Parts: sequence; structure tokens; C-alpha cells
Amino acid sequence: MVRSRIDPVGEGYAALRDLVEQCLRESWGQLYGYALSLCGEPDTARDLIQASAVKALGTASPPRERRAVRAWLFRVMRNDWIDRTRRSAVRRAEAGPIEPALGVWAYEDARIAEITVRQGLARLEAGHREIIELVDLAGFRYAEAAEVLNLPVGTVMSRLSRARLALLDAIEGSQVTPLERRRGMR
Amino acid sequence: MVGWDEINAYVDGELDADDIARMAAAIAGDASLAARVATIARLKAATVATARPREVPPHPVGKAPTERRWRPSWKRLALAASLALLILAGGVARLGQSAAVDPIAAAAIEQVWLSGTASEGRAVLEVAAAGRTHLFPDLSAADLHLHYVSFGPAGQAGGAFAGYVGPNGCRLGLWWGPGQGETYPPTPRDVGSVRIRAWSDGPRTFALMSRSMGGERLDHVTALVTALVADLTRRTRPDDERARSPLYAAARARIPCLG
Repeated sequence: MVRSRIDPVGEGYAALRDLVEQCLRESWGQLYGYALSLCGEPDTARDLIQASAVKALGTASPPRERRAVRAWLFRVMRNDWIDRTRRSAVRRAEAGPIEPALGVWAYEDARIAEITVRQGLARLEAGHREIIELVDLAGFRYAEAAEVLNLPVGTVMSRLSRARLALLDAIEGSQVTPLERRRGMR
Repeated sequence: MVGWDEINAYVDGELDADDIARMAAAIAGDASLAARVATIARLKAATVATARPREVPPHPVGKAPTERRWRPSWKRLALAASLALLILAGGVARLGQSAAVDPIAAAAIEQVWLSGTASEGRAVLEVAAAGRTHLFPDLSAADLHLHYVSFGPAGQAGGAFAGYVGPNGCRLGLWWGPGQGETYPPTPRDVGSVRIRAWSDGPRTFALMSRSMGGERLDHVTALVTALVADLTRRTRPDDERARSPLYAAARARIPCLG
């Protein structure tokens, strides 16, 4: 992405800062959700989102387009988190392509409900939870998520499909059964 | 055969028109593929339904977006900086000759923060909300982030204090206040366990201080902050590449925190 530098202290800068602040406000809940997916617990997530907001508000040359600002905010937070964890915790080997077992479809759709998905998400490893958070919860397109994660789009695509397969496995292993299913079994 | 990645991309609306048509034809002739597509679609919908995390922390900028608010144009920022310095200088004058206008006094007053026992976070968020983070040097390239700002007790001693924290918990304080007219380069003025590097450009005195940062790294950072502060007082942005490159070097020359 090419960013042109503008007068960092004039009215142009003030307008960009307004845009950053507005995008922060609009995406605050999703940013916090993403922080939770990165940190795994609320206190660290609160600290991360606030530190990232301060950093974003103090940046001299943020992106100028609204959609780009939104992705950039997530990237600022992710970079902050990586800095904190010294990058080692986020190195993940990108395995080769995976496919679910062929033949009879193994996953029971009736088990997929908000409560089982929520519990399944909590059991996923951070990298899987993160990509699902970005695409399904924050609503990013693959290309935007790729920009946030600094990865090729193809890697995002394969990481997401792997994450969903892991989520399906986690749901299948869940002890929780949706109410509708229990009613249906009576 | 349609791959798992492609099924997910289909559900996410990421395929182009040709691939969508090909996928639709494949689904029509393959019940297992249709089941997989339905499962992913259902999984995605259920995941979206889990949104809205509970107890979202408050937004750091508390004003409503439509509210008319202060815009940090450069002239206003410069005015605010000048006013801050004037206020600080005025505070010193009111305290008279006996006032300890000295970085050593500031180190004593801020020793609670330097030792890591003070609460932090709120003050710097208020500074960010007012759009005034630009009044403080950006040391993020050296992995030091603004966590604490004080115009209170340190202000009574004739200065302002900004506290930065590194990833290993290193705490670095930057104090500045009115100078005595003389100019001198960064000079060690350690007091007890607090390492201090003080310098003056004449009208202002500055000091970097830390209990937890080693002397070598403190010297590195001091050399860089003198340049950043000079930029700040010349009213240019302090985060240019010239300043950031040596900051990265200082970060690479990291010596573990001592405390």
C-alpha cells in the first residue's frame, strides 16, 4: 500500500486523525473481540486494545481510506501483540493442504449452534481462533485479512479452512448439546 | 474434485464468477459436496452469531463522534506546547528561590512510578483523547511506549514527566522543565539506584531516568531522545526516519532490564 505523507500537523492531519478515531469507535467491539482472541483473557485484551488505540491515535501517517484504516487498526493491534509475545509465540508452521475424511460426512450439523461454536472457539489454538475472528466476526475479506496478518491471500484461505475444520472437530468433541437437539431426541 | 479450501472460499463469497458456476454445477451432482457446503455455511452463521463480546472496555476517546471538538492543528499544538511550558515556568516562579527546580527532585518525586508500584494507563489515555500524544517523543521504535504522564507533583518541582515502559518491564522517565540558561550535554547524575542523564539547551532542562534500564542502553536512548526533543522543540514531527533508525539500533542493543 502506498501512503503519501501529508502535513503531519495541519488540517489534513486533523482530518486523518478524526478518521482514525471514528474507525476506532466503530470497530471497538470487534477490535476487543480480536484482542480477546489473541490474548485469551480479558485483562490482557483490555490492556492490548487500549495500548493499540493510543498508538493508532498517535500515528503521523495512517491510511487515508476508511476500509484501509479499519484493517490497519487490526494490524496495529496484532503487531503490538506480536511485539509483546516476542514473535515466538505466533510462529506457526504452515502445514500442507488438508482435507476432511472422504466418504461419509463426519460432522453432525445439528450440533452447530451458537453455544457449541462459542465453546469450540474457546478451545481452538490462537492462530485458528484469530483467522476466524478476522473473517467471520470482524467481516474482513480474504485480501484484507491477508493485509492484517501480513500473509499471502492463499495462506489466509488455507489457514481459514484448516481453522474451520479444527472448529468442527472441537464442536464434535463438545460435551454441550444444543437445546433444540435435546428436545428432538425426546 | 473440489477441495476443502475452495468450499470455504465459496461460502465466503471469495470465488470469481467462473468458479462459482463450476462449484454450483459440482454441488448439483454431488450430495456429499452439498453437505459440506451446507455445514460450512451453518458454521459461519453460528460463528457470526457469537459476536459482541461481553463487557467491552470503554472507548478511550469519550466524546461523541458528532460533538464539536478540539482539532490538533499544528498552530494549536504549538500553542498548547508553549502554554504548557509557560505554565510550568510560572509554577516554578511562584515556588520562589527555594523550589527544587531540578531533575534530581523530579526523580525523587516520581520514584514510585519508576519503581513500578504506581498505577498507570488512565493518564496517558486522557492525553491521547486530547490529541496530545504528539507533544511527547515517540520511542516505540526502541520498544518503549508511553504509559504515564504527570503534570502533578513533578510539575510542582518545575517540570513535566512522561513515563515509558518496555516489553520486559523496563521503565524510563523523561522529565523536562525550565533551564537555568546554561547549555550542557547529557551528563550522568545518578542518585542511588536511579540512573539519570540530564542535559539542557538553555531555556529547558531535560533528564532521562530509570531504575531498571542498564546504563549502556540508557546512554543509547539518551543520545536519541536529545535529537527527538530538539525536533519537538523546533516544532517538527519527532518520528522521522532519521530519528527512528538509531532507535531501532538501540532496541537491538537491548540489555535486559535490571529490575
